[in-house]
Amino acid sequence: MILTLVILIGFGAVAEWFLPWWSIVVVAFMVGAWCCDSYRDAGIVGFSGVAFLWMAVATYIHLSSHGILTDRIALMFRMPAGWTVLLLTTLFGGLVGGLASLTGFMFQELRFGPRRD
Amino acid sequence: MRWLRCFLALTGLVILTVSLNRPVGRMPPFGKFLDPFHGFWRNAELSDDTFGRHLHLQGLEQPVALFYDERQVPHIFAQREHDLYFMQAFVTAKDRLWQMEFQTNAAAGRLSEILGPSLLDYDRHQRRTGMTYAAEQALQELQKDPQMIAILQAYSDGVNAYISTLAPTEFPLEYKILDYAPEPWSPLKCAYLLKYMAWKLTGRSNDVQMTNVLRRFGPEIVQSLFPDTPDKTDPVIPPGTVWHFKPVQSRKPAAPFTPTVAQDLPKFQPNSANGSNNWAVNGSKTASGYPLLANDPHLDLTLPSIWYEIQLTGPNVNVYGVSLPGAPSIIIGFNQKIAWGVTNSEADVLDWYQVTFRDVSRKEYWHDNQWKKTHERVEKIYVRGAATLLDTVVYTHQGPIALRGGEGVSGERTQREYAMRWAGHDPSNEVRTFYELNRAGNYGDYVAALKKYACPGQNFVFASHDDDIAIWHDGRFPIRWQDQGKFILDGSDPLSDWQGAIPPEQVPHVKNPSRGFVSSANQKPTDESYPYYLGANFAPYYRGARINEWLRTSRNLEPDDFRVIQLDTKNLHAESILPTLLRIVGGQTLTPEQKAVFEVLRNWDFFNDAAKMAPTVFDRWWRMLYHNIWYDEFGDPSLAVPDRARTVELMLRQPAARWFDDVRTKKVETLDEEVRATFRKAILQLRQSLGDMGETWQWGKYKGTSIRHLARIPGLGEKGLFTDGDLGIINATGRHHGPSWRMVVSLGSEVEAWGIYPGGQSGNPGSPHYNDFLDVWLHGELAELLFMQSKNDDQGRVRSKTTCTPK
Repeated sequence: MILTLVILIGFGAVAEWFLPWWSIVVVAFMVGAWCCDSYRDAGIVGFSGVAFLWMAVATYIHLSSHGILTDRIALMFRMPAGWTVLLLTTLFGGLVGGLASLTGFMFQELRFGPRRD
Repeated sequence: MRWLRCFLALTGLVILTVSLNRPVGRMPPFGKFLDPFHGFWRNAELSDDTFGRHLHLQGLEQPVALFYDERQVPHIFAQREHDLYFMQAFVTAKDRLWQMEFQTNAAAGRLSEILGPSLLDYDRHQRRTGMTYAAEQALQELQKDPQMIAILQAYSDGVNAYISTLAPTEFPLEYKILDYAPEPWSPLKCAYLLKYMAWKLTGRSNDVQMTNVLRRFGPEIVQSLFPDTPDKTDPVIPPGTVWHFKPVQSRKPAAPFTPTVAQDLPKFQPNSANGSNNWAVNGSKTASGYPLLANDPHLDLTLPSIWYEIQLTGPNVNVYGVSLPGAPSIIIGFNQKIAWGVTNSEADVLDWYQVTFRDVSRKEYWHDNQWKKTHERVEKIYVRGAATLLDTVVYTHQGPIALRGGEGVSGERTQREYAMRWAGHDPSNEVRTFYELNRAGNYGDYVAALKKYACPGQNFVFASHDDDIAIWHDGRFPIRWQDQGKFILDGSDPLSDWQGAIPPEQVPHVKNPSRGFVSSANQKPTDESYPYYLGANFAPYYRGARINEWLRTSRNLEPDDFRVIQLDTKNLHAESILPTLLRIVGGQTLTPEQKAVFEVLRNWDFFNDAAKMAPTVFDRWWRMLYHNIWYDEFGDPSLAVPDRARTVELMLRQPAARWFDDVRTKKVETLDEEVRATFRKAILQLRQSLGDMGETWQWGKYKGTSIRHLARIPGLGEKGLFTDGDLGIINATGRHHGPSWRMVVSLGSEVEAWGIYPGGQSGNPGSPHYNDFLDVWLHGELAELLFMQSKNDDQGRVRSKTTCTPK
């Protein structure tokens, strides 16, 4: 599962660097379809992979910019502080990634039939 | 079955992704916006954002040197005029692209295109007041001046060169929040920006409300409550100045015109507080023996700020000052030989004409005893998420029909339409004036530059290192008969049309007056000897009189003294009336609380300092009293209300006037009763909203200045700033409005200058330079401006150097 995570984070980062934001949905879908063994696996990998990727990049930006912008965006969303925007970003990334991987895994099942661990 | 399930899941995923890619109501598209690779995160500045050592730019003709100083102000050294304005646009766009475009879209009535149907009313207003027409007229006129159109083209190319470097990921933050993209710049957008400013400064008009007062109360009361000349004046041009010219005569209609009572009122009026201070003294009043000049324009305070600081050095020009993002040149600034500044003239250049159409088709209207043809412009308004709207605007020779009164009064309807005559619609070439001012070396150059100026009329203050000082109340002002344009005019009578403009050399002006100083604060420009009528809505005497008091009594002035004057908070309005109010209240028995408040007021020195409580009490008390005096008879929003200076005059001179009685009660109230009642009520209200008298009553807290984001996006502005001053005070800092740029220039062999504005050079909320000037501004300090004399003159303050070369 660690390897799957690394694949998702690695390919996800490369895809996002060159392609629009929704490329992460495609990557998570493909990881779910090709690299996962169960729904549980796909859900966890998809969620934590994209959540981690988004959190890592956002945290780096947040810290190196002293949170100037994060605090303002928090005010814009009427949320209490900058770190809540960080949390929101992480959750959103995780949610999108998890759903994409789960859908991907569904297609894997279609090809190979349901698996039993 | 499993196929179906997969298909459904996939559809769900696609729908989710697509919907995260779109804005939700007023919220940004969540997926796109939160993604740290593309979304808002990318707008956070991780290091100081300047260009590298080299920049290759398509469109440059020769290499250009670009420096940024430690305040993030760009200094451009170009060898060609084209390159100078190309680079001005390029660096301005880098810091302010979204603002530049948004302001021009606001002027053009194109906001519903970005923000959706809620802005439709605003856009329609912009179209109906002829902003599109005005900008096209301006551009047509500019096209007759090949040098200026070349500059505007160079400026446009510079903006577009910057836009072409941007990937969508790098778009300024507001594009991502509102989910749209920048479009190419063109000279027409510069024209829109100039009209945006012209409207802000001359678009306000109370002709309709004054007409309604005239109809309801008659001419005597108009004369008494809305006099053309207030009792107290301290005009811009020193009283007694002799006019050495033969004025052009105007012809007045034989009989006065009685307009119908208008029901619609002009909408989206600019802020009535828009105004400014400027002044200059010659060497006889300074320690250095050379002139000093100061200027602080009072406008809506926004982030990004309306001003952008820059130094422009090129062939025959080396000038520093503030520019308007979206227009070439410096608007307020200085060069090695001269300095200049502006305040709004407040002369009346917008009138309303009652138009009679032949029939409902509005194809013909009655003028000069015949039916004349109107012409139509079809305005196309694109609306985000809704159908495109076509709006037909009818024009008479006066201007667009911008006000349509009395809908529903069938049969009469065609009688009640109003054409707007506005100086902003006339062809003019203000770009040329600022181009020449930037290069002016003496008084003659300055006057030559001003002769081409039209709208918005300004008091241009001037000082030169030859020790000349001057002020010209400059612009193209219509020749009017007395009170022409105070009320709605007869649209069928040629004698009610504007009869040409005051010749440029006959506008109010003075050079080197014997008093050794010149000043302006939007007050009436002249005494009664000036032969032309300019309007009746000038600012009251307060700021002008206070500035003149300072300058009259000062000797050996240092530049820092000018800063101190800019920060002066003496409230002349309070000084004029509060002692009388306290005398009325003083004879009464007061509760201990009232007694305490009374003492605070009695010990007040009339300075509106943020930490004092007296200004808060006085403000609340005065507002309540003013409301009680006028709102029984003038509460209808379609009526003009006498201003506070006139109200004070009445209270002092005619305390028994009928206005002090509340006509809604049977009893006859006296002024004294009103004063006492409002004193008690004001204290009660303050206690209810702020608690017992104490820190919460401090003026700075009660007023609480905020600087809002230009598009009012929450979180991107600043709130609750603790500031001195108020409207009608030299330091005119109000709730959302105030000194948008403060500048002091010391001329002489070496020019020195100081300045600050409440914002920062960067328009990016994710940059430390978004608001880094704010603290300095709040503390009443000015920054020393780096005026480089050559490329090598960095004075240890240049932080980055970039060589820009043609690609």
